[in-house]
Amino acid sequence: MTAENPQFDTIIHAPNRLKICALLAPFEKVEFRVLGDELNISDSVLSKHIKLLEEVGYIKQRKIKFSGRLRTWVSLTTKGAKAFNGHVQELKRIVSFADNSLT
Amino acid sequence: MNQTNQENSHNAAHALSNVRKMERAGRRRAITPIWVGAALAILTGLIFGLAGMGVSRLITAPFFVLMVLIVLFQTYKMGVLVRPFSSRHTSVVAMMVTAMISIPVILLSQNLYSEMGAAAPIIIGAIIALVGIILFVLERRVNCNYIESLK
Repeated sequence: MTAENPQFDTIIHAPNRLKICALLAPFEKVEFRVLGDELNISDSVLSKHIKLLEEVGYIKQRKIKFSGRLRTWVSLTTKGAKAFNGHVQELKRIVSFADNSLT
Repeated sequence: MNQTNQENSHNAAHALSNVRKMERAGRRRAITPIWVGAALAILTGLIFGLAGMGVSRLITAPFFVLMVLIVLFQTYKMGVLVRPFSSRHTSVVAMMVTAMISIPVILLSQNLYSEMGAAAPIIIGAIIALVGIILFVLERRVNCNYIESLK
């Protein structure tokens, strides 16, 4: 994960969207079914989150036909990766600030 | 620390824990089975061996195609496409290093073939396959250790 400026992102922060971005971040592409399996949510709910993330330019989808079946692959865009990394940095900053306040 | 800060910190820690869980789940899916690494390494060794014997590219081409098919099959089975290099710069450097190693090895293999016969390229191919398998197993172990560290 590259060091980004800490920046809280309200779009990413929603639990399922944060999980989607976290799953996409280390990879080039992830298949739609894998996202559904790992998040344990229905396809319709997943589609809604993906559509929203796509609208803001954080992810992109690509449909590829393989052995007669159309499969959807999802990937994080550069803008999405920056926003996700910035958000994670901000979360870490919040946690460390709280830890420092306690000590 | 006030109540709001404490809640924010708790929520942030929970969110970070979810991020780690998802990364772990994704990386676990991306662990390549040993047979894939072994098959790719053996095919690479075979290609080097045949190239050392000066065999036509038409004969080695199907082995390249087979390697691509194995990678494609595994990618679709796992449902994740692993980023092989962290950046375009790294991939260019990796390709250059591969070419810088491969070309002298093939030339050496061809020279030894003309002096010692088929045994030389076969041995060189076998060494390459063995090194490939060892590298794959080591990389897999590093990956598994990293996944464990995400707990």
